[in-house]
Amino acid sequence: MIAISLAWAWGADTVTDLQGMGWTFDTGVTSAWYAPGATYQYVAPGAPSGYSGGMRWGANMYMSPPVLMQPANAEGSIQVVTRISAALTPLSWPIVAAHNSTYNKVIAAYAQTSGAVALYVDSVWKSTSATAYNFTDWRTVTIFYDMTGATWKGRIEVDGVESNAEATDAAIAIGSGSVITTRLYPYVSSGSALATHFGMLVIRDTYAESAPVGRYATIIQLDSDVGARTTGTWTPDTGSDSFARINENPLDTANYTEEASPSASDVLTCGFTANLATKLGFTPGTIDAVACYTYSTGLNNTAKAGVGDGSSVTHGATGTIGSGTTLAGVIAETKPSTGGAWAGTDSPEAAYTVVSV
Amino acid sequence: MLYFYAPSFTFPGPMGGDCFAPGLRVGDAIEAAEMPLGSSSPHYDRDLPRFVLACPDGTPTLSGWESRTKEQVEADYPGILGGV
Repeated sequence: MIAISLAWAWGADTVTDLQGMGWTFDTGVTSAWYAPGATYQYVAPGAPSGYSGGMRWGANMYMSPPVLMQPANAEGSIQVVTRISAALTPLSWPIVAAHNSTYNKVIAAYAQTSGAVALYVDSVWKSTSATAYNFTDWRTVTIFYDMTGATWKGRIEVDGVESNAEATDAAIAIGSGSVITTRLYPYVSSGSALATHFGMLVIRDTYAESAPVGRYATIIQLDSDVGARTTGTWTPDTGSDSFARINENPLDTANYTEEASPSASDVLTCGFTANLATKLGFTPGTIDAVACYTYSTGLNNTAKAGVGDGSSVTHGATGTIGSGTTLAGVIAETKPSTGGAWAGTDSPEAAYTVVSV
Repeated sequence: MLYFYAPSFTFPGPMGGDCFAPGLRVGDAIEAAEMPLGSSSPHYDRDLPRFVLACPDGTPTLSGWESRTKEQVEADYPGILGGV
């Protein structure tokens, strides 16, 4: 079992791009109410600049990360770095929720007008925090949820400090493999086009594991092809470098590299010409994980994403690639070659492997 | 610590099912309440339905709320308070 299921930094992607990357949105979504913004970007001290997702408030507005990258079991934590552009106006509105569709109940964190945070377990209010938070500054809200037993439990941390102690409610146990949907909501009503901002999202797959703050997720662009660990004939749509067509931000599906006649075990590997510290612009004290997310088409093919260092690779789950853009991803919390922690001196590689055609 | 029984306010949850929170009585209707900082519910009585609330000292008794002593709560719902 891995601990981090998803670590997401928003890029300059439109809602259409994100949908192509496996995100789901309210059915009424248009790019008018969701757009990336650099104005309110979440940037950790010393970190490169980034983006934040923005969402306008409205009934039933939400967005959900790819199901493929969410925990397989009905427990975990959802950590979102978020802020709002104006004072809270709804009396109570969800920030983030974990939902089981079979039982149709949530474990959720709500914001109150006062800035306090409310905890719901089994869709029943359990507590309101003793502290009122200023959400016009970036806040890291983490909800821990466990639906695996007949007694559900949940708790909330804000900025790494417990705001709502663990509370329980008698429910029904949700079995292994049941999908728990994560949803993020705009929780302020404002005339601003981007009233609620999301700077980072990390989903973990165990209730008990801590969710440290002061970390951040960021995107590093690939800048080299690794011919030694590439098989098959990969041809960019223009130019001669595969990495140059897939390292874009935002995602543009018109740009690509392809294996026109793929065979099982064909692999495209791309990497970096410098180590992580150089690419980041600072030396990180800790690197929790390196993730690789790939987006491809190839009806009836199956494929998997990989993160490697040298000839050793950690692969994600094999998935069926559809005729539309399909996500495959992997999180490598340790170096595949040694099982040790990643460091700024490492130069990981990203791999895309055709499993079957 | 102050204890109250509060009516249950039902509202659409974020994903379709109903959610339940302490409410206010306004005439014959139950409306949403802004819950005081540091308040919690050691028990939700689904049969009545109502919330048992544990609130910080100084919390006013809102419309429709019934103030109770710790002993009264323990008599009505044995064992739910624990350390609350």
